[in-house]
Amino acid sequence: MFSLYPKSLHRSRVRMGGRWCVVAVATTMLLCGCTREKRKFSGGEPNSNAAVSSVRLIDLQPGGAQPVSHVDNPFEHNAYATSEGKRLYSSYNCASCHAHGGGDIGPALMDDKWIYGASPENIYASIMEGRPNGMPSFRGHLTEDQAWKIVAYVRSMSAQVPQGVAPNRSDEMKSSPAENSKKKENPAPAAPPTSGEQPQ
Amino acid sequence: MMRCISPFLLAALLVSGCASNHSAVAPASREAHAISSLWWQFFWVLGIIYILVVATVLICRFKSRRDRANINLPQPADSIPGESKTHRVIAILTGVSVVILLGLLVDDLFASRVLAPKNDPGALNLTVTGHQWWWEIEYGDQDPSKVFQTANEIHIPVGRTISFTLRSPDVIHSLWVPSLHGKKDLVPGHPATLVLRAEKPGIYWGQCAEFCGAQHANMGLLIKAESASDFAVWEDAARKSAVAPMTDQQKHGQQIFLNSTCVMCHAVSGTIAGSHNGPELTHLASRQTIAAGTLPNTRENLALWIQEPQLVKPGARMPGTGLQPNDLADLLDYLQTLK
Amino acid sequence: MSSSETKSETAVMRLVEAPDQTRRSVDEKNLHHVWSRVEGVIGWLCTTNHKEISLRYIITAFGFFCAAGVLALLMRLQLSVPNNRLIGPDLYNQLFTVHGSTMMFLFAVPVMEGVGLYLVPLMIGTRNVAFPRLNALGYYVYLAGGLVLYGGLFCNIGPDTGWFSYVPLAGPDFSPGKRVDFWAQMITFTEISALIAGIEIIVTVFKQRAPGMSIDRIPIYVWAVLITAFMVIFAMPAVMLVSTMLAMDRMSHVATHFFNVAEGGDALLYQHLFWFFGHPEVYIIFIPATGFVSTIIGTFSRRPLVGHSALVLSLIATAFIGFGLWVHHMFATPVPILGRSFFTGASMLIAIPSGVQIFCWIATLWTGKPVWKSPLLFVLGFFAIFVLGGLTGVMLASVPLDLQVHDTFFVVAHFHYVLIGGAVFPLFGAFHYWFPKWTGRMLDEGIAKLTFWLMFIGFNLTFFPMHQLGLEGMPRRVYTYHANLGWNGLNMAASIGAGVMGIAVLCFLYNVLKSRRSGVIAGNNPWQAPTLEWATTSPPQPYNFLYQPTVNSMHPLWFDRPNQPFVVGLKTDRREVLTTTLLHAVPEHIHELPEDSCWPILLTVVISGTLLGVIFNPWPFVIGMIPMYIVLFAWFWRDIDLKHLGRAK
Repeated sequence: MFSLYPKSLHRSRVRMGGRWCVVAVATTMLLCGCTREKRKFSGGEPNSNAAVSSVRLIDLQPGGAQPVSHVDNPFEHNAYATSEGKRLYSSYNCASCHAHGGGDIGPALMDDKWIYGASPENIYASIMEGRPNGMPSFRGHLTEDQAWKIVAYVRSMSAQVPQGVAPNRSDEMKSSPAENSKKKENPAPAAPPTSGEQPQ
Repeated sequence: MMRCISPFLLAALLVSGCASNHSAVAPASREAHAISSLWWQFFWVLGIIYILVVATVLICRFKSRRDRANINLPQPADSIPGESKTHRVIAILTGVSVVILLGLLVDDLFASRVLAPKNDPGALNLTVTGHQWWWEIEYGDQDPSKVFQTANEIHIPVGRTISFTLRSPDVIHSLWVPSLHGKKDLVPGHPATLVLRAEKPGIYWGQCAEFCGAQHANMGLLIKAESASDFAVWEDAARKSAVAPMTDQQKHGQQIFLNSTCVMCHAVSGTIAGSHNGPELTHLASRQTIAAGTLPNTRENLALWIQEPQLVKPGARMPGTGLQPNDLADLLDYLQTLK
Repeated sequence: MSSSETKSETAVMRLVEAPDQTRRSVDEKNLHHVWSRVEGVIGWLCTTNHKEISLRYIITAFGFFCAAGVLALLMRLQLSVPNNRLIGPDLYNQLFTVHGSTMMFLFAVPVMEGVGLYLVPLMIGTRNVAFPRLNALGYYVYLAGGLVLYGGLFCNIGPDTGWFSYVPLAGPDFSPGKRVDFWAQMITFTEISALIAGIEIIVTVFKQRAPGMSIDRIPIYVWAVLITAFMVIFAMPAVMLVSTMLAMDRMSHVATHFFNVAEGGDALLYQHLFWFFGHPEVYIIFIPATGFVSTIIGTFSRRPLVGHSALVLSLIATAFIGFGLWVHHMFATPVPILGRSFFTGASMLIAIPSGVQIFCWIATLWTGKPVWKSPLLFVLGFFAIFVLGGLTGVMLASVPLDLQVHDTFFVVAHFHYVLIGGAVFPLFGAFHYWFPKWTGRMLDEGIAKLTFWLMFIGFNLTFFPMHQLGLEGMPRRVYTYHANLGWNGLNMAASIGAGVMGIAVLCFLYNVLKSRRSGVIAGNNPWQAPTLEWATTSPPQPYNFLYQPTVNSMHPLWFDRPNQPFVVGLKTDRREVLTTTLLHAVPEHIHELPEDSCWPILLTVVISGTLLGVIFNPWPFVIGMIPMYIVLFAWFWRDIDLKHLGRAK
């Protein structure tokens, strides 16, 4: 016969507060899913003009430094958009130079070294403007929301996006851990390659 | 006599069947005919059984009205008169059911034989690849230079065996054109074969029949069965590259196509556009529909699809282009040359 | 009646024919005190009374039924006209997925279990199920699973890949976010609950039947539920396995490749494993409903069922063959042709035992003197609807026909005919039949008839046109359709029918609420039915029977002699039940059942936390083991009481 407490107190009260706490926590966890799970089929990207005009490639500034504010890419909080970014990365053949993040003739995207900046507006600029030594300029060839989705995906490659948002493994041969299993990197500036050299 | 008006419709509101180009009971191929005949055989046999069962139950319901007043105390089963006769009746009915089912099974096996893939050396080989949410078709040939691709609309010659090889690189789809055959799933990792021989010229509508994501509902396709000569003409034209644009507007339109987002996904043979992310467009203007059967292929619909694809097919991979009206008009001019 | 005394306890239990009145009132008072639960919220949460838990199962399942019905009404609203922009594809995909998952996992199986767990102990003449606390756990875990799914739906994390969630669509590559993970975990919750219910039924029926209820005297409903319980135990692990494999494929850091073709996995493996469960699942839903039909026909025909043995053997045959049919859900996939033919044969074969049952039932109605009350009316509805569904099932068994109508509205029509006709109509019949026992009051016959006709007409108006729609090329799971395909009128008819069905359900709800308050008082046996549950009060006391009944026939209240003996001697200051042998129900020993307990609900909290956490990260699985073991340890901790050692073997 079960007895946690003496038989004489057999029908006395038991603390049930724990149950309600768990319900509250669980509900909160669920509610936090709203932004992550939304599927917006069009729109939702940041204002690209504003983003581009706020890009700083170098921290060095004359006189007093103006505060650096990075663009918040709403797609980085949305699992669908980030996975669309992954699909676009694959469709538009980014892997031909960047592989699946490990880099090839283009720099690695899943490490901590960023030549042209790791914040969303920097990556957006890199994609749209192109970069020396072989990065094409995609302006006009990608729509803005496509580019921002790719930006979200690229950042997920070094786990800069929340784990719940980062894509799962793809249904392909395993080339690297899935983005939601990667270790979060701390982006640091890297020197651009001098011409002829491969990036480090 | 080919029954094309289904008795179901006696209870429903419209008449259809005979005129339909997308009905399992309006068959237009050897295989669909076999299935349709099987359907009617099963329908009549099982329908009569159903009517008998329901009639018996209704008789039970209404025959006992007479002695409803007395509720006799129940008796044990072994003291009810006629019980063994009841058992015998049930045994006989069970035996009859077994015989009927065996008959239906034999019927089924004969029909299945018609559907089995055949080794026909004169068959036309098509490879259908299902994507989210459009169909890619490649027409095979012994001569590799004669192989060509198209999208969302298939032409086949009447009277010749067509062998479809079905593949999918993403999720499971299912190719289903009811008037021509049953469906076959396109399962990643498991190439499948579907064989049919059309017997009646016509345009037949089909849809993807395995849930494949947001726009499963709008993954339609058309199969046009035509005479061998018409098919040969179509095939020759399909193998050719796109005609070069003539007018200034068309040339400008081609420029827009190649210089903006279109070239990233669509191929037009004879130009530098060679991407296979989306349907190839070399002969877009000769297709009946666009967006995998979602809209009829008219200039207005094409404009809508290019400008606001998410309005037409929310979730589709096609991005909205945001072209200026003049550019859009020139692009449409160009696209309409792609016959 | 064989030995009335156990070997080890002499002069403890006796058979008596009529315990005297003073003895009775003392025993009544003591039993009431021992078997009822503590008052208040805590007592309510910690109860182990099988009747209370079952009613919760039933009410919760009915709540989910109504929720899924609302989702269906929304779907029908969207499909009533072509190119409708009421509901977009994303929401629609969630609606049909949650509708299907709710109906299959959160309504159909739990409600059958719930009714079974209520009736089985009463029908076999015992006081409670074999493992009362486990029973409570089963309910709470089920409730938690349902809340997980609906919490997800309301937060836009509802699964959207269909109730069977095929890979690769539901896999990690094509379903981003946590939607499918919520689905997979809901499966885990509900399958734990189903397995628990299955175990309860089997052990209770095997070990706790009334003395004299040998195996040939077990009521047909108990047979049905027992066979279902065995099916549950063999089928549920397959879906638990496949949902876990899917969850692991999708889990960060784990990321297995079970269904990843590129790494040696197989997308079809998912379908095989799922349907190995999925086909028996529909029989798990259907077979208890055949128990309802058998019981209602037996009672209202005023005679024993024709061919009782044939009915039982048919149920066993159905259960057995039901495990050999699953590939008929996969006829359109590239599985070998010869293999498909085998499953065609098996799928047609299963029609035979179902046919035998139908013949026996009709024979009973034909040779009996039926009393046409509302439960029997619902059974008539069952005949008209289920038989049609079963016959379209024979059509679907044929590969060529299936290749045309698989994944179309034809198959939607088929399974609604067999599930609503074969399970929901009998269930409503059962509600009308046993409502007097559960609440002590009769449901209003007039409203019941109205409910029946609205449901019958609404159902046929909704689903009959769908046969034609399927033949005409309309696939399943489409959020809209083109206007020029000729499907408009039939879809509109189906949508109107759905509305009528909704009204029917509201009528039923009104009937229940009204009758609970002001229905005619039922008494013990308003239908003059034969089985043991009608031998006790309506509603039954917490201890079910004052004294342990014995039986001498399959229809105790019809054919046992009026002075059929009772067993006295079970203690009235502790919760005791009598266990008997399997085949002949000879008393074996006295078993002591535990008191009410808070461990089931605490364990549910721990399990819920673990399974919810695992959706987001694999570590909670390991961490959650610690509180789980602690709670289980406390649960199984037993006081060894030397005084009672000799009795409690």
